[in-house]
Amino acid sequence: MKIPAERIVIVFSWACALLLLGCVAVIVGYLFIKGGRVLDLELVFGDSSPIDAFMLKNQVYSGLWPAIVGTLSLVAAAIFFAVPVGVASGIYLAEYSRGRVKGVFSLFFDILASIPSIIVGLFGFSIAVFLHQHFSERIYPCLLISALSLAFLVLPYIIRTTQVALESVPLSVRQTAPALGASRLQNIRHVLLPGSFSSLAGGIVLAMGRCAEDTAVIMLTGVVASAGIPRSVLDNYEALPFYIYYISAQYSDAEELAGGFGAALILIIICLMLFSIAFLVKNRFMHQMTRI
Amino acid sequence: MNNQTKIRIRGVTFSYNGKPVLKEVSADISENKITAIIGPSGQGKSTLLSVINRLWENVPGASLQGSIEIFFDGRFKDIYAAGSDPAVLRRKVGLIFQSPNPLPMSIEGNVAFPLRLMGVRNRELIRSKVREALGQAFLWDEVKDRLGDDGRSLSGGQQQRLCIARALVLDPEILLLDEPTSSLDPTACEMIEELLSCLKNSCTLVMVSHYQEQVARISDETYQLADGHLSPA
Repeated sequence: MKIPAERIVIVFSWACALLLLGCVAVIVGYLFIKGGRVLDLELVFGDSSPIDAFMLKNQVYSGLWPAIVGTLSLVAAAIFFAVPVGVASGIYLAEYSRGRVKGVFSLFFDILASIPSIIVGLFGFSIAVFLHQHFSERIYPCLLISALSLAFLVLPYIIRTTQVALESVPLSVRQTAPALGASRLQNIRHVLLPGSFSSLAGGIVLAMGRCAEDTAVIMLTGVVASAGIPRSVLDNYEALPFYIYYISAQYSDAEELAGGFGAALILIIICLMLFSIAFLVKNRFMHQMTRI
Repeated sequence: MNNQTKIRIRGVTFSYNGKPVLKEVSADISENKITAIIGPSGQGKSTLLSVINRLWENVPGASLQGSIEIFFDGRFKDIYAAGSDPAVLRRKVGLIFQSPNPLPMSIEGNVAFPLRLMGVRNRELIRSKVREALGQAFLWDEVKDRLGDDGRSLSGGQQQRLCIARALVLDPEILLLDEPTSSLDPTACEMIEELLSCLKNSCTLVMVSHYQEQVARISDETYQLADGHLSPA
C-alpha cells in the first residue's frame, strides 16, 4: 500500500503529462481541421509544376514553395554560423576557462540568452543600415543579415549545451585519455566531444527549431511577403512564420486564411523533418565514433 | 640492478582547495618491484598516485609542493621541471584506474588508442603492438577472435586486463594501479594478481590496495598512508 502523498504525486504527474499531450493534440488537430483540406501540391507550388519548381526553373508566385525554401536556407545559414562559434565557445568555457574569467563569460552568455528576439532583430537591422550607409549601397536587410542575427539569437543555447555536455562527462572518463598520454586537445577531440555528442545534437536541434520558428528577428532583417526564391544571400526572401503572421493579420477571405493554417502545418512538418535528420545524423556519427 | 630506486619522492605536500591531503611525504620506490600503499580510505592514496604522473593537474583547486624525480635513461629527472611535457611523462608512467574504463571503441581500438594519440600510423606496427600488449595482459587468447567487438562488452576482469594492455602498449617503465581489483570477483582478482607479479620483470609497479591479504601475497615493499603521512609498514 503506497502512502497517500506518493499517490498524489503520481496522479498529479500523470495529469500534467496528459494535459500537455492534450494541448499538443488540440493544437495539431485544430491546424488540421482548419488547414488540412488545403494541404496539397497546389498550396505549395501554385500553378507551377513541382518538378520545375524543384529544379528552380520556374519561380513560384502563388504557392508556399519560396517561403519553404526561404525558411530552410535561413535555418541552414544560421546554424552554419552558430554551430562552430557556439561549440568552440562552449569548449572554451568547459575546458579552458577557470575562475573569474569563466564567471564573467558565463554572465555575458546568460545576458545574451535573455535578450528578446525583437532587440536582436533591431540590432541586425541597425547593422544593415550602417553597412548600407558606410560600405556599400548594395547591402540592405537580406538573408545573410537575418541568418547572422538568428545565429546570434541561438548562440547561447549552443554554448550552454556544449558546456554542460562536456562538464557532465564523468571524471573517470575524462581522465582516461590524459592518463594514456593524450594532450588536452586530443582528449577533447577523441573522448569528450564524442562522449557528449548526443546532448550536443539535442542542443543543435533545439536551436534549429528556434531558427525555423522565429518571426521577430527576420521581420526586421530582410523577410518580405513576396520575393520568390532568393538568388543569393544578399537577397530578400520569404519565410513560413512570417507568411503565417502576414496572412493572419491581413487575410481578405476564408481561403487565404486556410492557406495560413496550411503554412502552419508545413512549418510543423519541416521542424519534424529537421528533428529526424538531426536524430539520424546523431546515430550515424555515434556509430562511426565507436569504430575509430 | 637490485634495489635501484626508480621514484624518489621528497617532501611532497599536496593540498586540495587549501586543505592538505599529503603532508611532507617522502619515499624511495624500488625498480622492478611491487610497492603497495595501504591505509584507510579517503587518506589520499589515489592522490599520491596522481602526483607521480601529474594527472592531478587537470583538477581545479589542487596545488603541490616538494619534488618527485624518476630514474629515466640513466639519471634522475624532476618530472615537474619547467618544459617537461606531462603527456610524454604519462606514456612512461601508466595508470590503471579502480574501475575498468574502456573507451567506447573496439577491443583493438582501445589498445591501439594510445599509439594513435602518439601519431603512429603504420598499421602493421599497430597490429603487432596490440597483439603483444594483449598477450602481456593475459587477454590475447580470450579476445583474438573478436578484436572488433566493443571493449565494453567484455566481463569486468577482462575489461581491467584490457585497460592494463592499453597501458602496456606504450611500454611504460612504471605502472600505477589504483585498487585494480576492487571491482572484480575473486577469480578475476587472482588472475590480475598473477599478471602483476609477471609484470614486475619489465615495470616498476606502485599499487594502492585495500586488501591486506592481497598486499601480503604480491607486494615486495609496503607503505602505509595515514593522516597525510607516509610510513613504511
